[in-house]
Amino acid sequence: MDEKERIAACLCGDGEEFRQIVTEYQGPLTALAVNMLGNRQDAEDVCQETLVQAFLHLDRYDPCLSFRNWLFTILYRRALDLLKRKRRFRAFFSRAAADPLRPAYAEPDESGSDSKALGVLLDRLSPRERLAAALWANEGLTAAEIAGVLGCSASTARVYLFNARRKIKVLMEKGNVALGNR
Amino acid sequence: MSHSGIVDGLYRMIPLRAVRGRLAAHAEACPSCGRRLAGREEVKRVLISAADLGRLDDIWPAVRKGSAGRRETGAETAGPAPRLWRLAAAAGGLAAAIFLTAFAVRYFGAGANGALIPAESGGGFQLHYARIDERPADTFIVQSPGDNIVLVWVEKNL
Ligand SMILES: [Zn+2]
Repeated sequence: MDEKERIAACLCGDGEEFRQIVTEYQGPLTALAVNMLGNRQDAEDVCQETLVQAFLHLDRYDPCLSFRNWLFTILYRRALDLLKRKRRFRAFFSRAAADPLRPAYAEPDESGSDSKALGVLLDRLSPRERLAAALWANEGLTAAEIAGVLGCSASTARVYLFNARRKIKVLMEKGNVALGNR
Repeated sequence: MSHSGIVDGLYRMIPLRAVRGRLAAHAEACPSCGRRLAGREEVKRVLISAADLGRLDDIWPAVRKGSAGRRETGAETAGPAPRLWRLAAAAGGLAAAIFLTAFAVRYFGAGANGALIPAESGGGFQLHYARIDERPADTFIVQSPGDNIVLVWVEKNL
């Protein structure tokens, strides 16, 4: 059974077929979220929420488009939403408290990064640049497809990707990001 | 200055996205400019891939349960709420967050005489679940090191 047939079966039946979709996409979705958010705990939460949303709204998926990219779009929006809420949360407490508090809920640049290289990237690249880079390098998406996921023009997606690749190159040349250290 | 240096300089000097998009498109296709950008394999090596994650838990039961719960409450089928209602819901969520924060500070932070109550032996504060309007809410916990104070922020998931 191919993916389109599986989706049709999910829509007609009890959804048990969706299990295969979860198994297939859990890894790529979690990795994408780790690259964007910087820590695995948040990434796993966002991945699970993405799959819940996809399962609930499977009837809204347009079979003419890539199912994988549809999942990436949901994931991107959830991850961006989480980053915004974390920023609001931090702003609230920095106003409310005289002494800065250390969040137990790890911020990307503090702990929980999956690699030293990613820690450096989190400091230098914006979440959109990291996502564009991950979609391009890990998933093989074109600038036009990245634009579809990010909901921006292809030109803007190209700028995110260019910035990401340029910054990574500079970091590598300066030795901040070592190749082959993982 | 080299050709790619000029492209790089123009890119930095002109912050217009349309112009930068064109320069980025040029750099993608130009071998000389392309050398200033990390290649696909180089980018791959500094990012996390699915293979780096190791074995993952089976989340299908949680996905199934989560979606069934929302179908039951109608939270995901009611369509977009009117703007005013969404604002009221956001205000309600914020009020709940402030209430819970105040509650947490009072309950975990100070005794009747204002003295700090020691944290329960054996570790930090844990909160397993929080719901607002019958939906799972986003929860953030701040525990200041050294003090027995826990702040709980619960925000409505709009
Ligand atoms: Zn060139």
